[in-house]
Amino acid sequence: MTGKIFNIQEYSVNDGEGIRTTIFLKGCPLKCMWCSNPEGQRKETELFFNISLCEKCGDCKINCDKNAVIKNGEVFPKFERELCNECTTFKCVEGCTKSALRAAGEIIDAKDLYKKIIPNNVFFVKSGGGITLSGGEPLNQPEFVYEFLKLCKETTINTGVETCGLFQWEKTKDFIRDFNFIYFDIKCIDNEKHKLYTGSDNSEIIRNLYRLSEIDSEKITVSIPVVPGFNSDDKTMDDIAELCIRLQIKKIRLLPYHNLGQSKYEMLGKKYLMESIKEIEEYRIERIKNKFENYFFECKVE
Amino acid sequence: MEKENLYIKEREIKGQTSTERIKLLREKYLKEPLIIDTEYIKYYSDRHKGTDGMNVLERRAECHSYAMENLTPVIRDNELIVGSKTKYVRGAIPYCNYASQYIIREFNKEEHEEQDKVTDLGTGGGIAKSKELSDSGEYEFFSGKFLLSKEDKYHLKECAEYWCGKSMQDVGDDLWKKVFEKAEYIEKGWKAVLYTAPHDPAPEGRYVLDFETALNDGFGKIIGRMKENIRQAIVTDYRSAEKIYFWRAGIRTLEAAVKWANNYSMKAREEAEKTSDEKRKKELIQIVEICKNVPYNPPKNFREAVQSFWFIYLAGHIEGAQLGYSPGRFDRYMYPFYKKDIEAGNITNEEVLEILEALRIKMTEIEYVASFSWEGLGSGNLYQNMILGGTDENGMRGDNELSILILQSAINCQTTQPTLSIWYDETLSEEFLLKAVECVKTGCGFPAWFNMKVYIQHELEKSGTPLKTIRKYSAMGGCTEPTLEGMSYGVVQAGFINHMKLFELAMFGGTDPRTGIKFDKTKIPENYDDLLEAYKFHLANAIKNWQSYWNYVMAAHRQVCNLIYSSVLIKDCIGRGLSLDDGGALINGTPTTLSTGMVNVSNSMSAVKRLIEDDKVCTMNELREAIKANWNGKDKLRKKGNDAPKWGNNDDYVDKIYEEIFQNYCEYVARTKNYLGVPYDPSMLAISTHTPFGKVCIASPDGRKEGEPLCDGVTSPYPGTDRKGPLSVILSAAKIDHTKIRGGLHNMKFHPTSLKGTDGSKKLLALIRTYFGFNGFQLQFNVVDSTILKDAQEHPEKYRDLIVRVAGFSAFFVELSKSIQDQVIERTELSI
Repeated sequence: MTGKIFNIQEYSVNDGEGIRTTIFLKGCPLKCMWCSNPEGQRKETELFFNISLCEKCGDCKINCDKNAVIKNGEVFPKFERELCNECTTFKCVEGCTKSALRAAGEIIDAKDLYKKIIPNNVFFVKSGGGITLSGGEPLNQPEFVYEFLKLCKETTINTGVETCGLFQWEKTKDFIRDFNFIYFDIKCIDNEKHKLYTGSDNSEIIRNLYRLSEIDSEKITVSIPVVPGFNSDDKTMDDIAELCIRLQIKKIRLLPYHNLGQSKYEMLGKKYLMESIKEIEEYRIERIKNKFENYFFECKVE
Repeated sequence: MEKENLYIKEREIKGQTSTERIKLLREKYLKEPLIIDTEYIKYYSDRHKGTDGMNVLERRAECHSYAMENLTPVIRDNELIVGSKTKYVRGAIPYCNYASQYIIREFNKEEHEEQDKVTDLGTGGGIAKSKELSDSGEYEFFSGKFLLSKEDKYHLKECAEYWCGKSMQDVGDDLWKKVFEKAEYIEKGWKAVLYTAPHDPAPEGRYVLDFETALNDGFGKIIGRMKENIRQAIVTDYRSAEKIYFWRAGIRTLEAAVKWANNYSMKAREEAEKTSDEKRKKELIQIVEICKNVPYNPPKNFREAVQSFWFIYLAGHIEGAQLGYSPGRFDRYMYPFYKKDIEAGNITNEEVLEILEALRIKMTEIEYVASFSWEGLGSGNLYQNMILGGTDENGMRGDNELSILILQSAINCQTTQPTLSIWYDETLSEEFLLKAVECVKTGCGFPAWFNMKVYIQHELEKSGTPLKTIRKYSAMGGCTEPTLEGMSYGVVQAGFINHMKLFELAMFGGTDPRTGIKFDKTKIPENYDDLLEAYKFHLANAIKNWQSYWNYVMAAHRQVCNLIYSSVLIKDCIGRGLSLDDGGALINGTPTTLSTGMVNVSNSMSAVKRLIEDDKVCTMNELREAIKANWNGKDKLRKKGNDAPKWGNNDDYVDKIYEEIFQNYCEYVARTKNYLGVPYDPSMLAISTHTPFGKVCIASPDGRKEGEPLCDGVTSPYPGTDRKGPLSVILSAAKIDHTKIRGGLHNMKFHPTSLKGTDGSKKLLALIRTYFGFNGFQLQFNVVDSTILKDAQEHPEKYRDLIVRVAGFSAFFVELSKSIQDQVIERTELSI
């Protein structure tokens, strides 16, 4: 069974216990404004253009078979992203001798993916680590994940998943219990707000959380990306706390907003909508953490 | 990507000196310029003039001792531990008795060595201070970074001229240049920069004195032992007579060291009488007493023990032109003194910390001056390596409370010396290990981590020393070459061999493509197998000639620079009546042969194999032309070279090539015996050789462009080519048999956020443990934000005290040359 991934990060420190290798699956139903992995949103392979390596040689234009490159003279190339978004051949990448172009996204078989990560198992064993599936939305490729997960279980590799919560329950309910832990994103409870900032309704997300907590609430950590101006207010946090208490979820993870993914937007020819938003102050994160701890949650800040 | 947000993440762990006094001492140090002091060499040379006819060993001892006794003692405000190599904070002694040609050339503003053209030096910090003062007119600027007063210049010139024809280098040259059949090969090697420049100005080091005996017995007893030996000796031939000369020479040096310490006692009394500060007066009176007692007698307490250590250590540093001379297992041999004081309530841990921090500053004050190219290669660093942890003779954990305090002192008082290392073993306490990671997080680049079990295997195989001895006395001699403390010869080795230059010779039939210099002719290869064979030939050839040349030089060393003082403090020279150069030490297999650039060769071979054998995208000739042309007009081919498998990605395609070359290297090195009759030991390093070596190499099949630096370290991947992450890097490095070499170096750089908190520390430990579980040998970490480093390049004045790691040592970043700075920045950042 094949799937689409866009990165394998060997030494991850924020994606669970011990040394973990995180696999990023491509494609996500949400389009959050602060997303630091914008290349994970679309399922299709996309073009990264790193202008700092470009030497304006024009080989990209020569090799492109979609007429997607605009370049007249000694200027940097411009890419017609609508055309690039439909491309499957990426001849420009092949032709660029300066490594300024890269295609994000590769198709891989579950067995081959397993073979790629199994050499790292010595590190997992030594550190109490393992594999984390992330992305994008990993549970949007349920058959692929299922097969990969089965292989990991055979060698008792600890496996976790980071999900935005919007996935088809029917297709995942049978194997989701096999994960050792689940980081389940909850951005906010207010649906209108949710639609505004992520492009999507959150009712199915909350329903999935209910369903999951019935199976095993112990394995769930609710992950909250804390974004100033969006969900960092008291009411939002209180609402989330209330939901978790009701579902007997005990663990919270706070992810303070950061803008390290910004350069990726530029490389994808996308606009970064969080330009004016600053990193949230540490004391405010502390306050939110204290709030959750007062509710007797175990609360970590990444 | 110029819109870099200035997200300068502060380092998680920031040090703070534990007392005001230490703060002042450190600040003073940071403001000082580098300066030449000719006092020692002037006295030495004067005495040399009057000792014609003396036995070689006695003469050496006499000149050194006379100088020691006459050195001006200097005690500065706030000093807790006293004793300086020179009159200045950052003074350097020009050892004209080792080499003086480079000094004369400097004065005549003559063409330096070939190497100098490809060397650059740092310009910030103390070096900038020197420049500032030299512009004022009272001082001149020497060797690119030192101040030289008019008076010192006069003496220096005189001494340099006196030693012409007499220095170790000149005596050696007179021998090997005239009778060594491969002399021409060596000279060509220097011109082509196949080898680093002559090592003569600072060849000593890589050993550790027997501090245990020196401290616990005191010099008095050791002198007594030699006197007894003399009494009992019967002379039958020149060999037995030579022993007496040796013991007499040894006694002379120890007595001189005692007198030198005593001079500090008198100076302290002087200062005590002068000062009006009651507190300081009391301190100075204490110093008066301490310096009378040690090193002649065993120390009475911990404070005295540290002062005694310092005298013993420094005296050895003065005798030889040292690089890599190290304090060894300080936490082992100093522990009994610490324990006694703490248990009796005579000292607090705070006081111990202050003493340790004071010692750090003293050790950092030591400078060396050498020929220009060796300044560049060493980045002015002295590689004083203090190694902690390890095990006792029974294999049980060797860390103790003092080990943790030493780490804390390094976190508190950030100086480049001593560099700290951890002898890793599974039995070490978690508390100690986490403290060590905390120190790594300050970003100073140490401690480096060494796998003790790997060295144990190496030494068992190499010398057959009993396991208990190896466990107890394993130490680090210099940056990464292990040695047995107190019983081994120094690793006086001949500098480095340039692997990529050998690759080029193989490619071009024995002719250096850059200079056209012809070495041994080999068939111009048309395929991978031919190329590999040619490389192996040139490798074996270059190694053999290099080793043989050095054996000749060491004959001169014995005549001119035999280390007498060090000899009598290393087992079993006194017992045998033989100096170090005569094989008096128990272990004489430590001299290594060093080289740089094996990763580049492996990557290049991999590219040749892929392009020519597998994909057949060009012929060997076409590739040859392309690299000669520095890839001009060959962008597509260069990309293919870039894309060929690279070391550090856990890819057997290239990793197996490295393994093969590595095995050959180890085998070739061991074919030649060193000057003590034991086969040379293979090792590898770079210090800063990778930059000058890279400058003289043309483009390479792996995609590298002409003049770009080679890889640093032994197993670290070439910057930018490790594309899979740190785990794959380690899995590659784990494939070679680390027990085969005496050393190893692997650099990794982490963004501070990857190591945050205790969780982050534990993950780093897990990484180290896993690698060591594979019999990996060494790891060292740079934890600095590259944004900080770039900022430091722009504003060195703001980063005066920023320390980073380069190869086997830590350096003040602003004092590194720009090309090394760029290297440190570029080294692959393993982060988010």
